[in-house]
Amino acid sequence: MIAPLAIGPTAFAALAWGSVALVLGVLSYEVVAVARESRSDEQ
Amino acid sequence: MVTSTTALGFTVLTLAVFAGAGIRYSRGRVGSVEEFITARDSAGVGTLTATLIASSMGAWILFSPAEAGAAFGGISAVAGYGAGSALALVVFAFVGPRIRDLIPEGHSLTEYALARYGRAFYAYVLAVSVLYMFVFLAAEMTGIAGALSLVAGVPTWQTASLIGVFVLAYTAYGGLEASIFTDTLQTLVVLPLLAIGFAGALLALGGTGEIYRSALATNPDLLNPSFLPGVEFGAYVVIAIVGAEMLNQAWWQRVYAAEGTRTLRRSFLIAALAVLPMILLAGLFGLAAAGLGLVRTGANYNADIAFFLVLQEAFPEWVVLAVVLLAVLLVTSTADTLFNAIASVVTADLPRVLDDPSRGTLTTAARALTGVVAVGAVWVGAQGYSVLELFLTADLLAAATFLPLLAGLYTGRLTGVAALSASLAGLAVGLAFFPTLHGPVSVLVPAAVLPAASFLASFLGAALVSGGLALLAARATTGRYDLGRLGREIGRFDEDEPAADGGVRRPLDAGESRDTAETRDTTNARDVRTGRDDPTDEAAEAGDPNELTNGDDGR
Repeated sequence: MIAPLAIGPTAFAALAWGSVALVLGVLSYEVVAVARESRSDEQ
Repeated sequence: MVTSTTALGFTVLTLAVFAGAGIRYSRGRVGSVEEFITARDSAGVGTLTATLIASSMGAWILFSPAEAGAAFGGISAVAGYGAGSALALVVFAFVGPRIRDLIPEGHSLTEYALARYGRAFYAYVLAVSVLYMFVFLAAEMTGIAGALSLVAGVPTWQTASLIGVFVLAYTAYGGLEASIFTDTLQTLVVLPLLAIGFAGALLALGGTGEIYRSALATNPDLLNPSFLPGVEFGAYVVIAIVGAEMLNQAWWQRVYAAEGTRTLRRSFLIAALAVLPMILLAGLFGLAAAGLGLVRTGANYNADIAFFLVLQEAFPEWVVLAVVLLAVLLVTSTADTLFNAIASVVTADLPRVLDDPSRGTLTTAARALTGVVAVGAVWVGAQGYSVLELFLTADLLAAATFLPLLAGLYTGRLTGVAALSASLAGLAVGLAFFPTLHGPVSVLVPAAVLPAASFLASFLGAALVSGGLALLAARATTGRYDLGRLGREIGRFDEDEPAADGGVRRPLDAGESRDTAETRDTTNARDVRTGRDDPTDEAAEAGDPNELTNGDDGR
C-alpha cells in the first residue's frame, strides 16, 4: 500500500537509478574531456 | 573490527599517493604568488568541471544529505540539499562572467568588497567568508575523524593530523595548481568508484523496492515530497547553501582559473548537473537507514552517520574501510581547496597592508598562511565538536550578506554604508528567528518580544531583508559608483611579468578578455592602470557629479 502523498516505488527507483546513471554519465564525459585537454597540452 | 593500525596504514598510503601526485604535478609550475593563488586562465572545460565537482563534494556528502533524509524530513529535505548545492553552482555560471568582465585581473571576493564598498563592508565580508570556509574545513576534518573512529577505532587526533600534514605538504608547495590537479584525480577516480559503490549498496540492501518498502513501513512521511518539515528544511537549506557558497573564495578562484567565459559557464553548469544526483543518491541512504530502524534520536543521536550505518549493515568490514578511504580522499581534495582559498583571501590583501611587499614575500606569506590554516583545522577537527550549529550560524551570516555583496556587481548606486546596513538589518532579523541563538539573544531582547523560532523564517528573513533594503537603498541613492573602476583598481601582483614573446604582459581592462586584449594591444599600447585615455575616467576627472569617490560611501 502506498501512503496518500508518498511517491510510488517506480518513481523512487527512477530517482535512485536515474541519479546513478546521471552521475556516471557526467563523470564519463569528464574523463573524455580531461583526456582531450591533456593530449592537446602535450602537443 | 578492522584494527586501528590497518586503517591508519591504508590511510597513510592513500594520502601519500595523492600528496606525491600533487607535488610531482606542481613542480616547476608555481613561480609567483599569482600562480599560487589564482592559476589564472589555465583550466579548460574538463579540468575546471573536475575541480568544481571535487571541491563541491567533500566527505560531507556522506554525512549531511543522509542525515537530512533520516532526521530532517525525508525525501524533500534531501531534494532541498541537492537543489541548494546545485543552484549555487548555477548562480556562479551567471555571476562568474560578470566578475571576470568587471575585474579581469582580480583574485578574491574580499578584494572586490574592498574596492567596491570600502573598509567596513570589506572587514565584515572577510570575517564571514573566512568563518564559513573554516567551519566547512573543520566539519570535513571532524566528519572523517569520526568515520575512521567508528570503523576502526582510530583516535580522532591521529586522523585529523595525518590529513592535515599530507594536504599541507602539497598545498603549501603547489598552491592552487596542485589543488586543481588532485581535484581532477578525485573526479576521475574517486567519484566514479563512489557512484558505483552507491549502486552496489542499493543492490546489497535488496534493491530500491526493498528500501522503498521498509521506509514506507517505518515512516511514510520519509517518502512524502510535501511533508512540511522536510519542505521547510529543503527551503531554508537552499538559501543557506547558496548564500554561503557565494562567499566561498574557492569558487571565486575558479572563476579566474577558467580559460575563458564560455569555459566558466559550461563548467559550472555541468558541475551542477553532477552534484545534484550525487547528493540525491547519498541522501537516499538516510531513508534506507531510517527504514531499517538504524537511526536513533535523543541522547544517542546517530543520524549524522546514517550512511555508514547502512554500509555496515550491507557490506563486510573491508568494503566499509574502502569507502572510508574514498572519504579520506574526498576530504583531501576539499581541504586542499579550502587551505588555499583561505590563504588566498588574506594574501590578496597583503599588498595593501604591507609596504610594497616583494613577490617572494607574498609567496612565502601565502605558504605560511596555508600552514596556519592547516594547524587550526587539524586542532578543531580533532576535538569532535558538533559543527552543525557553527555551520548554521556561518550560513546565517552569509545569507544576510550575499545579496548586498553581489548587488555591487550590477549597480553603481549601492554604497558601502548602505550595503553594510542592509546586511546587518538582515542579520538582526535572522537572529531574532534563529532557534539555536534564541537563548543568547533573549538576554538582550525580552523573550516575549522575540518571534517564534524557525530556521526557515530566519534564513528567509535574513536574505529578503538584506536584499530588499539593498535594493531600496540603491534606488534612493543619486550618486553612482563607476563600476569600471573595479577593473582599474584591482590588478595582478606580477603585472611586469615577462610575456612569452619577450615583451611585458599588461593587465587587462574591465570587460576585456586576454584574447581581445592581445588583439587590442596591437593598436593601443596605453597603460590601463593610469587609465588616461579612458573616456569614463576623463569624465570622472572632470568631476562627474554621479561618481562616488573614496570617502563618499564612508571609506
